[in-house]
Parts: sequence; structure tokens; C-alpha cells
Amino acid sequence: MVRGNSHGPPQKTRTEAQPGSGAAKQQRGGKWRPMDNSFMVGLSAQQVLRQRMDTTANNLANMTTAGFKVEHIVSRELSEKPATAADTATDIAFTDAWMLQRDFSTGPLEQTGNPLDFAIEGDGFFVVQTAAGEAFTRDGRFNLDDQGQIITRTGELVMGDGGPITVDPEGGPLSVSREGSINQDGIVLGTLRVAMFQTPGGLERLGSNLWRATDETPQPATEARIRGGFVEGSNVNAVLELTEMIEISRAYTSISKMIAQSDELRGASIEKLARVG
Amino acid sequence: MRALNTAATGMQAQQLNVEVIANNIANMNTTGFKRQRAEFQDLLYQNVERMGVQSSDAGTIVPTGVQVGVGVKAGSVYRVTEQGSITQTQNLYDVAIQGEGYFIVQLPDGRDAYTRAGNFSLSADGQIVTEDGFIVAPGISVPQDAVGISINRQGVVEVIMADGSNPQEVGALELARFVNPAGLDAIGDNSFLETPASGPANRGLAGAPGFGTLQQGFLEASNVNAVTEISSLITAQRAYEMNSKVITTTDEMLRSTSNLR
Repeated sequence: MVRGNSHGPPQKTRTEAQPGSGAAKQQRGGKWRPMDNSFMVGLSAQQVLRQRMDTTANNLANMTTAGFKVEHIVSRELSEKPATAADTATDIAFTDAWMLQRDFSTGPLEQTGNPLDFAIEGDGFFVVQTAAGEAFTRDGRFNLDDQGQIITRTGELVMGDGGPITVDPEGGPLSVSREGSINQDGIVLGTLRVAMFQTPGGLERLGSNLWRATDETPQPATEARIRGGFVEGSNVNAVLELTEMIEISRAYTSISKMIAQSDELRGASIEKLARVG
Repeated sequence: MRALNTAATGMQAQQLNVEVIANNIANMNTTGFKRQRAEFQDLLYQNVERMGVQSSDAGTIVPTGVQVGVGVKAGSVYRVTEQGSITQTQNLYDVAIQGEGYFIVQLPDGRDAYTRAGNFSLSADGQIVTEDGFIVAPGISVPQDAVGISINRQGVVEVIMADGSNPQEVGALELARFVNPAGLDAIGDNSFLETPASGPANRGLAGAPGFGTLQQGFLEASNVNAVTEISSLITAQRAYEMNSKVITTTDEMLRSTSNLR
């Protein structure tokens, strides 16, 4: 059924000769209409399972990443017309990766004793300045640059309520209040900005523990509490992820079996029909 | 499938984690050693379905799209500059810093190195030097006929002469502070060099504002805590195993597909 990329003279394809079974060549909503229902339903499920596996692998790989938030793919039923010659065919259900379910619960807080480690208790994100605008992070392992400004591990400036916070290199030790104001020698240097979203699930992940806002403007998080000398760990629950992985793998294998069985069925029926003829 | 690669990045990350922990444990008894911590960040994400895009003409938007992450990377190996415990050695040339600061060591190539290890001794020509024979700033000479030496909390070195006269001051040990000591470059031998990340050395005397005080006859032990290291080692090992399980499971899934034919 290859058309357009064959180098020989144009061939008349079989689908055009047989009306009704040509569903596979038509596109609707960007998706191919299937030729064989059980195969296609099985494959659609397997595709989603692969994506779920990729996501679970990412969760497990980030078990020890500070401020990492676990996520899972939620699939949905997608009703489509089956491949059939009948005009009144009922829809059959395919599986489709629909959206991400993100868990924004606070990860375990680990005490480090480093004055430049901060953790947020409750909802909210630290605000950092990147080349491409503001980004948000739950990873509060900060550093100082050569001018004494507070930066992230990747070198982006951490924003306070009045811009970047500069620490006096010659000054005394730092302390942070629960509201996020950083003090040195009794002087408030600035307050760490903590931003909050109504639907944090809508944020786009940029990697390097950063998130970017998509369609929502952040609000200041007034409920959030800052803890100095603590780092928020990853909220991945390894046991849940492992069972998830086993479940995915079992489902995938049993669909493979189903496909093999329907292939056998088809083979047997073709054999029988051929004998009648 | 991406899961294979994703799990491989996870295994690499945990391998680095184990290496850092191994180095910490190996240096448990190294004077002035500061433990390190491997830190990780998630890698890029692939947008399968973008969030925030319109999903219908009525203006509804996709609240949370589908993004698939591709693993983890080692962000940095961070040095935890917490104070180590101070242990008594009775050795007159052992000095521990309590609080902030580093001893300044003059390297043979003219550069300055910084160290927390205060196990000093006297060189053949009577100067206070490190274990490797490098002069400790500002370079203090102890007279040949001195019978005793005392270093006070401010780093002032006084010698007691054989003739019983009053103790003589021969100099004061200098310390250096940094805005960001975690940004120092470790060169081995318990020593560090300054970098743009650490900021320039801010020199001063012990006991000055922001500087720690000195204690003669004591050494600062490493700040490695064996129990925490072992429990991190167990966590790292389990995380490594789980990532390898992801690889075997993904392999099984792929095999079930290839077994179809």
C-alpha cells in the first residue's frame, strides 16, 4: 500500500479497487483508521504502555534528584470507528496517552547543615532568572557567585522580592526566617520569592530541576514556609514505581499474547476458507 | 524504547553516587577532610502533547500535557563544609580551626593553597611547615634554642627560650575565608585552590569577626559520618538495582514483541 514513494510506474493499489476496506488509508483526526481491530486496539494499548514505562523509568532514575516530583501518564478511552465494511458499525475503544498526573506533595526533607540549602514546606516554587525568562524550582540547593549573589547549581540567579539577593562576603553567617527572609549580621538582605500556581500540573518541565509557566501567572505563595539547612528530596516512592513497572510489563506481554492469538486465529480462518474454495 | 536509556542514565548517576560515598568512607580518618555529596538533576523532557495549547475551538486548553523525561544527570559534586569534630593529639604543632577559615599554605610554585588540616611540623631551618614541607603563611621561624612553643586562640605563636626569659612572640598564623567555600577546587593532599566560584581569599587573623579560633594540640577530624555514609550507600545500591530492573523489564517487553514473529 505504498503510494508516492515508489520509483516505478504508478501502481493502482488494492484499496482503491475494493471499496469499504480502504479505511486504513484514510486519516481522521491525525490518526490512522485501523485495518484489523484487535491488532490495532492492542497496539494502541502497547504504545501507551511504552510511554508509561518511559515515564516510570524516568521516575526511578530520579529517585535521588532533589525536589523531583513524580509523574504518571493517565490514559483514556478513545472511541473510533472500526475497520469494517458495514455502515452501522459501533465504535470500538482505543487507548490514548491523555495527560500527566503529577504529584506535588513535598518530598522528604533532609538536613544538610549548609546555610545555602533551602527547602519549601507546602506549595510553591523558588523563582530563578534564566536566559529565557523566569523559571521555577523546588530544588533549593543554592550557591554564591563571585559577587556574592545567590545562584542555583546551574548558575541562574535566585530571585528575591527585590531582585537577586547579594550576600556580603566579609559578613557573618546567614540565617533564614520561616518566611524566607535572609539575614546577615541582623540585616535583612532580601526575601526569597516563592511563587504558587493553581494548577501546578500545567507547568512545563525544562530539565535541570526547572519548570516554566505555560498559561498561568504565578501568585506569591503566602502559606509556604522556608527551612534553611534542609534539602527537599525526590518524592518518588520506589515501591510504587516498581509495582507500576511490573504491572506495565505484564499488561504489555499479555497484549503481545493476544496479538499472537488473533494472528493464529486469522491464519486458521484463511486456511479453512482456502480449503472451501 | 526510551526507558532503556533512561534507566542507563539512572545507573550512571548511582554509580557516581557510590564513587563519591566510597571516597568519603576512604577519607573517614583524613584530617580536615570535608565530605562530598553527589547531586542530581533531571534531564530534558520530550513534549508528546504540549500543555497550555488549545484543545478545541471553544478555547479549552490542555491542562497538563504529556511530557516524557529522559533520565537524570549528575549536576555537581558538592562539598559539605561543616565543622569536623576536634580531637586532642597533645602534639604542639597540631592546630585545629574552630569555626570558619583555612590555613594558607605557600605551594612551591608560588601559588597559595588553603587547608583545614593543621598537622604542622618544623622544617630543618626552623619554619612551621605542613606535612609536605610547604611553608604555612605568613612563614614563622622558630629559633633553634626554643624549648617550647605556644599558639593561642588568635594564632599568635610564642616561643619559650631555654634561658627562662619571658616568652617571645615570633608571628601569628594567618587564616583565609571565602564567600563560598564550597566553590574551592580540591587538589588533593587536603588542599584547595581559590576559584571564581569561591571568590577571592579574604585574609585575616583567627578570632577576627567571621573567622574561627585556633586550638593548639588538637586536630580537626573529617566530617564524614560513617552511619550516614553507609545508609546512603545502601540507598544508592538499591537505586542502582531498581534502574537495572527497569532495563530487564523493558527488555522483556521488547522480547515479547519480537516473539510475535
